[in-house]
Amino acid sequence: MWIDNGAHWFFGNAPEQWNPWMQLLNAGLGTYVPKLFFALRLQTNASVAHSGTENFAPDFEANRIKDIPIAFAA
Amino acid sequence: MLKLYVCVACEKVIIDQDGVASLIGLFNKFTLTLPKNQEIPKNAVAPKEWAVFSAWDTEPGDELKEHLFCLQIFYPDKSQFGEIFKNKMKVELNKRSQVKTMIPGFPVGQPGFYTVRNWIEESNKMVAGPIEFKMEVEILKQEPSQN
Repeated sequence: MWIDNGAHWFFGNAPEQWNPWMQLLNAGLGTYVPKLFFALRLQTNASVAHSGTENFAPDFEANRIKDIPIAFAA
Repeated sequence: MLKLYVCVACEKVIIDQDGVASLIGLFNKFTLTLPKNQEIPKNAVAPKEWAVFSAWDTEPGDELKEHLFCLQIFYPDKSQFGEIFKNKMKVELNKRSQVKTMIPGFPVGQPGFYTVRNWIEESNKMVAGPIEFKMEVEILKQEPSQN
C-alpha cells in the first residue's frame, strides 16, 4: 500500500537526498519498485574505428541496443 | 598520489582472482518506452543495476593512507540525485588500485543528460578528480499493445 501510494516519507521531513526507490533497491527489494515502462534499453551512441588488418568499418556508427525485458506493472 | 588510469560506466564488471577486470557493455544511454498516457514521477528510478569501474595508478606511500572512491549523480537540471556513493579503496604498494562501484538503479525522472561525477577523498578532502561523464535518458511514448 505504501508503495502503491507513491512511497512517501511518513512523518516530518525526509532526509536530504532520500529516494524511496533507491532505499528498496539497496535493500535488495527491487521487485517492489514500480516499473512504469514497457522496455528499458541500454545504448551506446558512439562511432567506432577499427585498426588492424581488417579495417572493414572505419566509420561504422555503433548504436548497440540491448533490450531488457521488463514486465509492465500499471 | 593516485592518478587516474580509467573510469567508465558499464553493465557489469567481472574481476577474476588475479585481479584482471573485464568490462561488459560500456554504455551511455538509457531509453525507456512508456505507455502513451503514462507520466513518469520526478523521483522515478529504473531498477537496472549498473557499475562504474575505475582504476588508479599509485605511488609509494599511497598504501599508508585511507582513500574513498566517491560517486555523485546529477539530474539534467543539475540537482543532485540520491546520496553520494562512497567506496573504500584497497591500495597496495606497486599495484594499480581498481574500484568497482555497483549502483542498483538509475534515475529516470527527467529526460536529458545526467552527469556522473567521480573523485577520490582522503581525510574528507578531494585528492583526485573530479572526473565527469554524461549518461543520457531518453523517454519514448508508445500505445499499449493489446494482449
